[in-house]
Formats: sequence, C-alpha cells, structure tokens
Amino acid sequence: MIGKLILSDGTVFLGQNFGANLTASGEVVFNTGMVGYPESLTDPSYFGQILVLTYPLAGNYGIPKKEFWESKKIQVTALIVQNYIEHPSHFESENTLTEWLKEQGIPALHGIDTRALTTKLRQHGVMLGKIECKVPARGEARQRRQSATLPAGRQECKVNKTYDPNKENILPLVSTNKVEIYGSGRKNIILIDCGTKENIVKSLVKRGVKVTRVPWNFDPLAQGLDFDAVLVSNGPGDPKQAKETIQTVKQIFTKNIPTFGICLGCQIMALAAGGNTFKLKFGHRGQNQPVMNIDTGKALITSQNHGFAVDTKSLGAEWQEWFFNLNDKTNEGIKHKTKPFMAVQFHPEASPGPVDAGYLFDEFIKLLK
Amino acid sequence: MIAKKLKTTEEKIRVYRKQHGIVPKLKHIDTLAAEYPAKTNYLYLTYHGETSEFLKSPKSLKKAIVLGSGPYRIGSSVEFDWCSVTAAATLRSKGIQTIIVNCNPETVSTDYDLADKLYFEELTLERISDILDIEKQTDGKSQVSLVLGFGGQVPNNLAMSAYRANYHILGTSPASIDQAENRDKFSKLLDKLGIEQPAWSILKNVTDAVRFAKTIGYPVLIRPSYVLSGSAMNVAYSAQELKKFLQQATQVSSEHPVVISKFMEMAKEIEIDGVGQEGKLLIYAISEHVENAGVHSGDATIVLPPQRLYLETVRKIKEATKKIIAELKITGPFNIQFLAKDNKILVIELNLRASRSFPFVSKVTGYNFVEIATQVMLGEKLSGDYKTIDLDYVAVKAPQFSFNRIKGADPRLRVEMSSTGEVACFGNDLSESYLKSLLATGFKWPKKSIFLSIGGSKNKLDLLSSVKKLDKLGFKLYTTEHTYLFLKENNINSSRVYKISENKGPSVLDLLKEGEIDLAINISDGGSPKVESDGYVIRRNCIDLGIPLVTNLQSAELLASSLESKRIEDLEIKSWDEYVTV
Repeated sequence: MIGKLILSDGTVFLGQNFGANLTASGEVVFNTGMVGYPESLTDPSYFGQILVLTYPLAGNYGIPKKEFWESKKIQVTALIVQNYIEHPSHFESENTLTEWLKEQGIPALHGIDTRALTTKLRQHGVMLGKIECKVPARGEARQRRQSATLPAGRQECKVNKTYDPNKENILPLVSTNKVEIYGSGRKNIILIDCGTKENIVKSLVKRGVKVTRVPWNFDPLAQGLDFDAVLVSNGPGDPKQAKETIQTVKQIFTKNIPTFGICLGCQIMALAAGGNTFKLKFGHRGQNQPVMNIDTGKALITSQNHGFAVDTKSLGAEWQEWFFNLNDKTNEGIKHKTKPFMAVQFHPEASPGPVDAGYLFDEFIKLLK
Repeated sequence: MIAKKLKTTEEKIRVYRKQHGIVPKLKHIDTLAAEYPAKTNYLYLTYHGETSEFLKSPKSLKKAIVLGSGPYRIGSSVEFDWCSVTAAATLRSKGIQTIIVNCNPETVSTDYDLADKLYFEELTLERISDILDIEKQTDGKSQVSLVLGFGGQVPNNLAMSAYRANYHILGTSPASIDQAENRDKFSKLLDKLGIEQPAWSILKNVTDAVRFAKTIGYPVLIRPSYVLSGSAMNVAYSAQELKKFLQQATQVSSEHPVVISKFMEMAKEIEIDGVGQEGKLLIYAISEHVENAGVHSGDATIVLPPQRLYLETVRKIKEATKKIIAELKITGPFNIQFLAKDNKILVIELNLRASRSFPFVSKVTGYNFVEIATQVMLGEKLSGDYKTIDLDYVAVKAPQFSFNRIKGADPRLRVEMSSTGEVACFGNDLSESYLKSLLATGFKWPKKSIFLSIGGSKNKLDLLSSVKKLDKLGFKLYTTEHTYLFLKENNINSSRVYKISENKGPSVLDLLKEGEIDLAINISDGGSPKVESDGYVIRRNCIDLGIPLVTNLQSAELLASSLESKRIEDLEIKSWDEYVTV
C-alpha cells in the first residue's frame, strides 16, 4: 500500500506502508545503527518521533520475545526504512516486523531513499513530518473507531494535524504509574522513570542492588522512602517540560545523596543545578558515537539517542564537564566537583550498541559505599 | 529480460525507459550514513534513489572507462585484474580522467583510489550505457571512451553491442573483434591470407555433425564461440561421445553457434602475445606449451622464451601474425594460439584483447605489454627494438590446481580449464625454472620411490627413455602389470604392484597410504574416459593424500630430464631483477 512521508518543509517521499494503515505525525529523526531495531523501536526516548533507520535493511532478523524489548510496547510514532525484509531469519525471532507494527498500530514506510532523507535532515536539522496513508474503506474505519483510542501522534487517516512531542510534557505517557521493586540487594536505588529503558533496571539489578522504580513526578523524600541513591532515567522530549522532576532532583541535591543521570536524566540534573539545555540540529542517534572522558583522556564508543544537550558554559563553578562528543564537541556528561552527582548523555546500558561505558554503573554503585 | 518477454530489443526498451525517466540514480558509498558530509569516488547506481549524488570532476575533457573482469572464476582471475589496473594507471598518467567499472570486491581494480572514479557495477551493456549517460551528462563537452581490451572475455563480448550503440571504443575496431570471434568470418579471413587452420564446420544438426566428423576423422573438438576457459569444450573420440557433448554445448550457449573442428593429436601448442600498432606488429612474445595440444592453454605449463621450437616455426608464426595484424588493422593487445606439427603451423584462435599470459610475458621480458598497448590505443606512436626471444634465462609458468578441494574430481587435464592459479619462476635453463615452478605449486621433490602406470603402448615407448633416467637416478620404481612387463622387456627392474580391481596385495592404494610413494606418474590412454577406472582411483588418492602426480606425457618427460640434470641444491635463489635487466 502506498504511503507518503510529508516533511514540514513540504518535501514528499513516496514509499510503501508495511505497518498499520494509519496517519502519524511527529519529529523525524534518524539513527545510524546497523542493528538493534527491536530495542530502538521500544526505547521510550523515541516517543513522539518518526524514526528513520539509515541502515538499509530492516526486519531481517525478526522480532524477539518481550524480555528483549526496552519497554512494553513500540514507542516510535512511525518507522521509515529503505528495504523491509519480509522473511526474518533468527533462532529467537517470534514475530515479523510488519506483523508487530500492525498489532501495535504503527505505520511504517519502506522504499524510501533514506540516504537522501538523512542528508536533508542533516542539512536542515530535524523537522516535523507526517505519514499519510490511503483512506480505508468505510466498514474498516468504523470498526477501528470502535476499538481503543489511538496514542499520541497517531490518528485515523484524513486528520490533518502535525504532532510536536517537544511542545508538551510527555513523561506521563512513558513513565510507570506505580512504584515497582526489582532485585533484593541491601542497597536501594530509586530509579526516577522518565521513560526508562529496561536495560537500565537490569544493569543495576545485575550488580546486586535493589531498584525501586518510581513515576516521573514521584518525590522519594516527601514519601519518606529509605534509599541510598537516585538514578534519573532517559526519556523523550524537551527536558524543560519535566518541571516536577527537576524540582525533585533539586531537593535530592540538597541532601548530598549519590545521583546518576542518563540521557534526559543528565539534562534534568543540569537544569536542577541551575544550568541550561539546548536543542541539537539533528541530534546524536546511533551506536558509534565517540566521546572522550576529560579526566582520563580516554575515548569510548557509545550508544546514543538524544536531541537536546547540556550547555556546559551555563553550569556553575562547582560542576565540571566530564565527557564530550568527539564529532561535534558538544557535552556528553557532567559531574559535581565535590559531591557524588554525575550524569552522562550517552547510554551506558547500551542495548542496542557497544557496552564500553557499562563500567559507569560500577562507578555509580561505588559511591554508595 | 524485459525485451525478450515483450519480443522487442534491448535498445528499444532502453529508449522507452529513458523517455519515461526510468533511469537509475548515482550514489556514492558513504560509510558515514549521511550523518556527516562525505565525498568518495566509490560509486554505484540504484533505482532505489530519489536523487543522484554527482561528483564535480576536474575539468579534464578526456575520460576513459576501463572495464574490469567481473567475478573471479576458473579462467578469469587476477591476471585480467592486473591488466585492467595497469591500463587504468597508464591512462591516468596521461592526464585522462580514468573510470573503472567492475563488480568484484576482491580485485585491486575495485580499490577506489586506483582510478579517478570507481563504479562498483555489473559489466552489462545496460549498466555501461547508464554510466556513459551519466558521465556525458556531468561534463557536457567531454569525450568518453571505452577500454574493453583488458578485462578478459566479459568486456570483450560487449564490443559489438557497444559499437552498434555508437560508443567510442579505444583500440582495435570492434568490427575486427567480431571478425576474430566469429568462427566463420575468421576462417574466411585465414583462407584469404593463406594461413592454415584445423578443418572445422559450424554445427547445424547432429546428423550433419556426425557426417562432418566422419569426413575429417576422430578425434574432433567441440567448441562454442565466444567462450573463455573452454567451458563446454570437449574432445570426442567417437560418434556416440560427439552426440553427448553436442547436447551439453548447445545447452550452454544457444545464441552462439557450436563449432566442430579436427582435433590434432601430438601437436605442439604455441602462443603469441603482443601489441599491434595500426596494423603493424610492435612487440610480441612467443611462448610454448610443455603439454601437447588437448590441454587448455590456462592449464598448460608455459615456457618463455621457447626452448624447443625450430627457428623455422618461429619465423612462420611471426609471418602469419603480421599478416593477421595487418588485415585486421590491430591497434592494441592481441593473442594468437597456434598448433605446430611437423614444422607446419595452424591457427587455432585469435583474441583481440589482453590474454591471461600478458602479466607473465611482461614480467619475463621486462616490457610492460599492457602499458605499451594502452599507449598505442591512445594513438601514441611507439617504436622500439624489443628483445623477447633471445633471453639469457628461461621462465616457466606452471598451473596451480585445487583438485584437493574438489572432492571426487578427476585430476586429469583436458580442453576445459581447471586450474585455479599459476606460478611463474625463472631459471638459467628450462630444467631449473620448471623444477622451481613445480616446487612453487606445492610439488614435493621425490626422494626414493616413484610409481608408474602408463596406459597404451605408444605412451610406454615414448616414456621409456625418461623411465631409464629415473632408474639411473636410483629411484625405486613401482609399476602396474603392463608397465611392469614392458619395463622388464627393456631390462628395467621394478616392483610389481596390483591395481584395486585385481584385489591382490600389495595394492597401489596400500603403498600410497603408507607413504611409500613420493611421486606418481599416471598416464591414461587417450580416448577411454572411464571415470570409475583404476586410474581414477589412483589419481584421486594421490590428490587426497597429497602425493605429487603427473598425468601428462610431456610433463613427465620434462620432469625426468629436469630431475636428471638438477639436484635441489642446484636451484639458485635469485631475485627478479637479477634475471631481467631491461
């Protein structure tokens, strides 16, 4: 079925829809990773975004079972690839990409010149876009209307509004709505869930600590919980929309409790420390982003997915830049000079991507002793 | 494909396609996935694109497209890659914008820094036409020429259609190429020039073929035109075999006719590689094959300069070559294969392209034939006295086989090529360079014992003097029944062993497996291709057990005389420039 991608500058790309027959709109971003589409699609940091994979093949190894996903559902608004492979081949594949997308109501285009599209996004910066589909026959449409309400960014065909995930606070849409406990270690880490990837939880539990996962607007101090450290998770959207979380982190800072931020968490910590964040032209999304540790002079290859960054200059004198990106020199991590507060812009939990930065979880846990 | 389905021509489909804007887009290989700007001259075409990524080229008005050899396979390998690369380097040194088209990532020609541009694309007329369109479009005024003579048979086959499409082709005119490739035309040309050739005819149907074979007499050679490495080529010794092979040949290539010619037994095969300049012979190298005709030229052991040719034969070959070159107005590389028997020469085939022995003759003579050919094709006037016959050394190019990797294959040489590589070695004489090249292909120097099994009384007689040499050298000889009796009659002692079918000990297999035999010489009687024969089992076991095996009579003779004249310590280790000083 023919589908169209219409960018906010009017450019139209024609392709074929191999996902759900729905219209979708959101921010169009590209990821340069060669593998890892099941993880990327379920990464809540992509919420509200139309994901373009620059790697030309998708679907060739199918979809694994839920425990390999980074959240309970597909988070992207839509998917764009050059070449969809219909017949997956992998011993752990349980579903095809097309079936999975259809089940979850996600439109997806293939047959798009993703190289030309990426070049456009690189030159212009990320922009909003819309996927249009063929209007379904009447009976079909009525049937769908009776079913569940559609998630943000996705609409029935014909509706003509473009959704911008950076214009509202979308954390309630990706965060947990209750307190959950994982692991059984002596130390308890509060994980403020702004749309966390499952592998952050797993990475901590594996290291023998207890993880208490709380909603994005949960204040552990006010609730009187007994805990040893806080981790502010990754998540989607503009960090400045996460006002309540920023307030919570400010409170935690006053108690000198060890705090670690990842991705959005890093930006929230910078904002809580009185710093500023800005939007990158086309962001960093991929699995081969080189960063340098300023303390050691050592470089790491990291998995990244962010469209905003911390403005290093805006930080107070008690904070220092910890990591920076070797491609465009933007900030990739900050830490407090005296207190146990540290944050990175990349993903030490990887999934998908290299695990070079996994040691940072160990460093964090060392702060608890 | 589309043209065939719609019963029209490729040209018409192309015109229609272009009218409707259905053209592939140009893309470059971008390892940064467009995340950051990248510029490479490593290009490909795709219908999967929205936009083309043109490269701004420097303002050179002359462009040349060199076609590579495509995928490696038996018969088309690194030799042609060297030719394409050398041609490209020469063109580039002349300030011509050089473009290589090839689709094999293993080759040096697909290293994108070798030419100004590399198109990683298939070698078909359709794709080459697309590339020409793009190249003409990007720099409107430039002249784009095709270079088809260095990538082997694949680009050579495109000559006629590229010529019909009005593309500019460097070197010998495609009309001449067609005259060389088309049996009928070529034969008439030879008749006109008074040059002899083996009797031949184009096959129309099986009955005619059988009748024709009867008039010229068996054995006959069956050969489709426009082929490399002799695929579907075969020698038939009887009407029954002829029928069987004809069936195979017509399946392989239905568009091109099949030719049947007289197969000359006991004839020597000689090749001449060279460069013509507007119909004049500029440089040449004559090489002789150790094996008699019947072994594909790609499998033959080649000697340069020739050591055992009559001067008269050499003179005749040169004379015939000059006539052919003048008649076809050859400008560029060529290769002619001759048969010589009783001081008479016959032309087997002419290739108006660089042959697989070009790198060999260039290395041995010290003159770069490809460079010279490229310069001539560009219209440069060259002259020189190239010394290629009277050299102070001898070089031998020996084939390298991979029979040990091909389970069950019969390691005998025939008209269809089976070698997968080659090694060339230099020496002060034929024995030295032959032994060195054999050692280089993995041959193990025999120490104490040799197994002999020689089929046919003629072969036995021919090899007698060689066997005497081996006997004198002190080798313990193991033989099978008939060979044993024959040698006994001639006062040579050997130990009789039993063939597998005789079911008696000691059997050949036992000895082979016990490591008792250092070298096996197994010459089978021509004309009995019984695959399941004892001979096959012996040969196959030699291969599987890594025991050196000689299956060709002439090779066996040369080996015996070489072993007689040289010990392993006599082989000199010298570098190339100690031999070649041009």
